[in-house]
Order: sequence, then C-alpha cells, then structure tokens
Amino acid sequence: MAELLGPRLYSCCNCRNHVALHDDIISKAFQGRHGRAFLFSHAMNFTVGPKEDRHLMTGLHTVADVHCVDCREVLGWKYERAYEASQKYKEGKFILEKSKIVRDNW
Amino acid sequence: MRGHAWINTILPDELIIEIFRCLDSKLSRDACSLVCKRWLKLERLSRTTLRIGATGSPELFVQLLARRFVNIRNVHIDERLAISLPLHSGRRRRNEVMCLPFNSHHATDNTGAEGALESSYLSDAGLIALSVGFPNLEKLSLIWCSNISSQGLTSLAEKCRFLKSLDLQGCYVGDQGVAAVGEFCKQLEDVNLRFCEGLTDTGLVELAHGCGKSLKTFGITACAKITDVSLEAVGMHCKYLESLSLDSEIIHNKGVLSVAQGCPLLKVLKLQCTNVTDEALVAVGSLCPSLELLALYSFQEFTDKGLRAIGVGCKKLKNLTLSDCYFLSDIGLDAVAAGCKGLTHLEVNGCHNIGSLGLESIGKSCHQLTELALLYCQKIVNSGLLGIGQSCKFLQALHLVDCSRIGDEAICGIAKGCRNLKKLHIRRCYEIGDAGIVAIGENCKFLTDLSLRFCDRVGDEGLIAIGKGCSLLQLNVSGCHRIGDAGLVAIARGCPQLSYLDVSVLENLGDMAMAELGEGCPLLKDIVLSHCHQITDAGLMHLMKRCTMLESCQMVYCPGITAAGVATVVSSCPSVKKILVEKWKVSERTKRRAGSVISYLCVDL
Repeated sequence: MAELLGPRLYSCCNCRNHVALHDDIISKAFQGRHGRAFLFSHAMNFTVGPKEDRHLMTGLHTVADVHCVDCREVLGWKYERAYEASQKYKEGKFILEKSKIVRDNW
Repeated sequence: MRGHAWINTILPDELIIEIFRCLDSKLSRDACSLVCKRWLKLERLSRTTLRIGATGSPELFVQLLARRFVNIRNVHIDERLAISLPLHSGRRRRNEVMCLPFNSHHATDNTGAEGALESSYLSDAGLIALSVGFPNLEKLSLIWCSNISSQGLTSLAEKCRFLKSLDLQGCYVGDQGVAAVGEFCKQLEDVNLRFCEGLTDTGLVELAHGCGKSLKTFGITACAKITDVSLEAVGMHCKYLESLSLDSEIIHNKGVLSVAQGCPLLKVLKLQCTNVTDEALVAVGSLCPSLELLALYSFQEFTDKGLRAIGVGCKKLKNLTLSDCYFLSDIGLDAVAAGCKGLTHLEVNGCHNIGSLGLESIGKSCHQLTELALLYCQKIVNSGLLGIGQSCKFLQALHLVDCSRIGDEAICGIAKGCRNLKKLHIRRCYEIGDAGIVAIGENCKFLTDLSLRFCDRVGDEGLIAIGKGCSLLQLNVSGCHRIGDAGLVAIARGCPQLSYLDVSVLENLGDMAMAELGEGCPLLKDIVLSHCHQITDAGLMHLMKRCTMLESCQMVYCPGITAAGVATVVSSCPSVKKILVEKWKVSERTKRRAGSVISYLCVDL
C-alpha cells in the first residue's frame, strides 16, 4: 500500500520527475525569467549547467542553470556566488520558476 | 442438501475461527462478518491486528475496539493519518479499521477539562485504555502520537507484559516511560525509536539493562540526544542482539565498538553516522562473524581498509549496500568479493570511486548474486557487467541508474548469462539501445518487471522483442521518446498479464496503441498516460472498454483528452480509486459521481 502521507512534492512540468519539496521553500516572492519564482533551500533530481555571471535585479551573481535530470528542461538556476553582503544568504540555494514546476496532489 | 446450513450446524467455533485466520484481506473478513450473527462474533474473535489513524475521540474509540475485538495482539496507531469520512467502499484500504469521526460533544463529556481539539490526539488516558483493553498486546506502533508521555507508556508497560515489539516514531516520551518498558516487558524483542527527541541515555540504558536478555532488534534513528553511552549499555546487556540500525551525528566509534564486542550474534548492521570511521568497521569485521547484512550510508569516512576487514571477517555476508561512500574504491569491493562468496544482494549508490574492476571481482567470486543495483556509477563500463553476466546465473534483479558508460554490449552479456532475470530497471543510461533490449527479449523468458526510463536510444524494435519473449506484469517506458505505437502494440499482443503500465512523456504514442492495449491487456490495474500529446478521448475510450479492472489512472498534460474522456474513465471503471487530471477537465457531473477518487494537478502555486 502506498504511503498515505507523503511529502508535498513539486515535479517538472515536462515530465514527472520530482524536483523539490514544499517544506524546502524559503520564499515565494522571487522573479524568474518567465515570471514568478520560488526560492528553495534544496532541490533534487537535477543537473547543473555551466556557471555564468548574470546581472539580476538584486545585483551581480554567479549562477548555474538547473535542468530536470530526465527531460533536461531548464527549471531555474542555482546561486553559486553573490557579490553583495545582503545577498549572500542565497548562495547554494535554488530558484525554480513557477511556470516550470507543478504540484500533484497524488 | 438444499435449504440446510451445514456449516453452522456441524463446524464448531474453533474451526471456523481457524478458517478466518487464513483470510488475508480486510474485505474478505468484512464480507464474512456480514453472513450471520455467529460469523460476526467469531470473526471478531479471530481479528488480531488493528490499524488506527487520528480519530475524533481516541480514548472512547480504543475502549470500543477493546470491547469488540478481544483477541487483538497487534496495534498500529499512526496519527499522521487524518480522520477519513467513509465515502466509497472503494476508498477502504486493506486491514485498516475505518476511523469514524466522533461528535465533539462526546469528546468533551469524557475528557473534562480538555478542549474538543485537544482530544483529537491519543493522550496518556487513551494509552491506558489501550493497555487495559488489550493486556495481551504483543506488537505496538505509536507513530507521531504527539500527546502521549512517559506516564502513559509506564502504565502500558505495567499492564502489557507480553509486549514483543515496540515502535515509537515522533512521540515525545521521556526516559521514565522507556525505563518502565525495560522494567516490565521482559519479552521485548524489537525496539524502534525514531525522532524520539525526549529520550536521553538514561532511559535507554535502563531499557537495555531490563530487556537485555530478550532484545533482538534495535533501531535508533534521528534521536538527537542519544550518545555512545546508550550503545555501551546495549553492548553490555544485549547479548542476543541480531539487528542494529543507527542514524546519528553524535555517535562515534566507541559506541559501535561496544556493540561489536558485546553482541557476537549480530546479523544486521545499518549505519548512517558521519563520525564513525574505519576503526568501527574493523572491529565489526573481527568480532561479528555472523553478519549477514551491512548497509553504509552517506558521506562517512570509511575507506577500503574498513571494507577489507569486513571481507576478511564476515564470511556469511549476504547483503551489502554502499551509499555515497566516496572513499571506497575497487580495492575494497575486491576484498569483499574474495571473502564473502555467499553475497546475494549488492547495491552501489553514488560511490564515485568504485569502477568496473570491483564489479568484475564480484562476478568472479559471488555466484549466488540475485540482486544488483548500480546507481550513479559513472565509472563503471561494460566489462564490469559482462563479468556479472558470465558467472551470476541466479541474478533476478538488475537496477541501473545514470550509468552513462554502460551500453548494449553489457546488456547483451547479462541477457545471455542471467536467464533467470525477473526484474530489469534502467534509468537514464544513454548508451543502452535496442540491441541490448532485443537480447533481453530473446533470452530472459522469466522477465516480469521492465522499466526503461529516459533511455534515448531504446525504440520500438526493443519492445517488439520483449513482447515476443516475455510475459510482463509491469512495464514502464517513460521518456523513451523513440517508442511509438508499433512497440506498444507488440506489448499489447504479447503481454496479456500486464497490470501496471507507464507510458508517460512519449510524444509519439497515439490512439492506436491505446486501442490495442484495451484489447490485449484486460488485467490492467494502474496506468500512467501523462504528457502524451497524441492520445485523445477516442483512444482512452477504447482502452477503458475492456480494462474494467483499472484502479488508478494518471493523465495530466494530455491536450487530446477532454472532460468527456475523464467522464468515460469514471463511468467505465467501477474499481477506480485514483485519477490524476487537471481540474478544469472535470465536469460538475463527473465531480458528483467520482468525488474523492479524483486528484487534481496543481499548477496554481
């Protein structure tokens, strides 16, 4: 019998791969490339692209795109380094775009 | 003879009870209860297990259950499971007692000062009621029962002296309760403590001291305050310990060493302790010759030295799991292969320094291997698996994830050598293609469970061979985008026993395959069609026509499926228990008919 109580999971919008847990959401008030995005402390089942320096709304950051490990769809990015003290808390955390993830109440 | 109930005239009570004991599902038991008053009474006498979730008034509920079922030996209370209203008979799960919500005024009547909300969770009073009602209790699980404390556990221990197995998870009980268990429950064999943050060494030492002579299985995971002191007590008192599971950051070599020294009969050891090193493994190797299962998890400091000690000392090892042990290499695995020739289960997960040589050694020495799992092993190449294929004739299950350097050559080798293969799961191994899968289809006649997920190079040709050669029960080809109708049609024609099918994320799969599946696989119980852009209502209808045993269906992101299709699924399948679909595809009428069966995809985050 399947777990009646499972963790609330977010999946890739393109395939059914589980990429994040609801409990790992730090903030829902971020902006991604395509609209709203969430900041997660952890993600899973993903691969990371090459590091790039990008000028985001909050300043210069080194980020790496996060791809779904199965279908390789770009879901967001990972903050590798932040160059302003106030932004350091983001290092090591993940942005996943709202339009790229879904939650199934399965 | 017509009109005469022989069963009730001739068979005595004891015999009918014996027959009821052989019933394995709650549905069967319930059905028997409804036959007549005598059978109702006898069925209740034969019931031995209860599973309860969070109820409106647990103390009353327990008392009711104790009056009704007097021979209960096993009770599982899991308060993560919320009260569920009885809607569908289809919603009932096996072996579970349905939790009926009690009216709040019942609760306030008996619990006095406590508010109606407080009494939703099992309290000490409830635990006392449990112990009074079931004095012959043998197994007890209390999962996330946040309202119970030492007081309740102490009373339980005093009354239920025959307790054999205790599982506490997420319960904030204190040392006195656990110490009481040690004092009174002298037949206790299994103890499992998880997230018991109220426990310290004091309580555990008492438990080890009290139950030392009977304790066989012990698990301490995520209990923040337990240190080596407890393990030293286990080593001192629990001479007959057979199984130990540890997950802690504050346990060190000293604790594990004490157990190794004191428990020579140890058969199972699972360690997830970042501060435990080779010293402990060496001790286990030399002091625990009966070890049969060893599992080492996550980022520990173990090196080949420790593994070599295991290889030398634990000759009876059958089951080895190495997960995220970065420092282990082929040398260590080679040592295990040389020493543990009876190995049947091997899992290597994320150990980036283990390559093919270690696996070849396993192949050469461990001919009894039945299950092999290689996860995230980027270093392993074909020769490793070829070695397995040559000698491990009894291999039944092979599991490969993200092994990007393993290709068709290896799979062909496995196919030809391991003809008893029953289960093959491959995920994201991009070098494996049709050639390997065709070989499997031609050679592995006993294959029943096949899963090929996101393997870019596997196409219809492979599935056609599988359809010809294997009578599958479960198939998953999610994300193998080269697969289309031709492959699934072959499966439909060749695998009539198919009961689980996942064809999600297949852009080339269409209605023709659905129609054939409907014709060929009437025993389908679970199906996943999500992200298939070419499947439409028509295909769905053909599928549902004959698959009347369907229990679950996932079909999100299928633009060709509309509200009509969803309605068809609901109306054609009387046994359906779960449907996953977009909310806007469910009409009001379907909602009324199906209600709790439908789960919605949540895109509006």
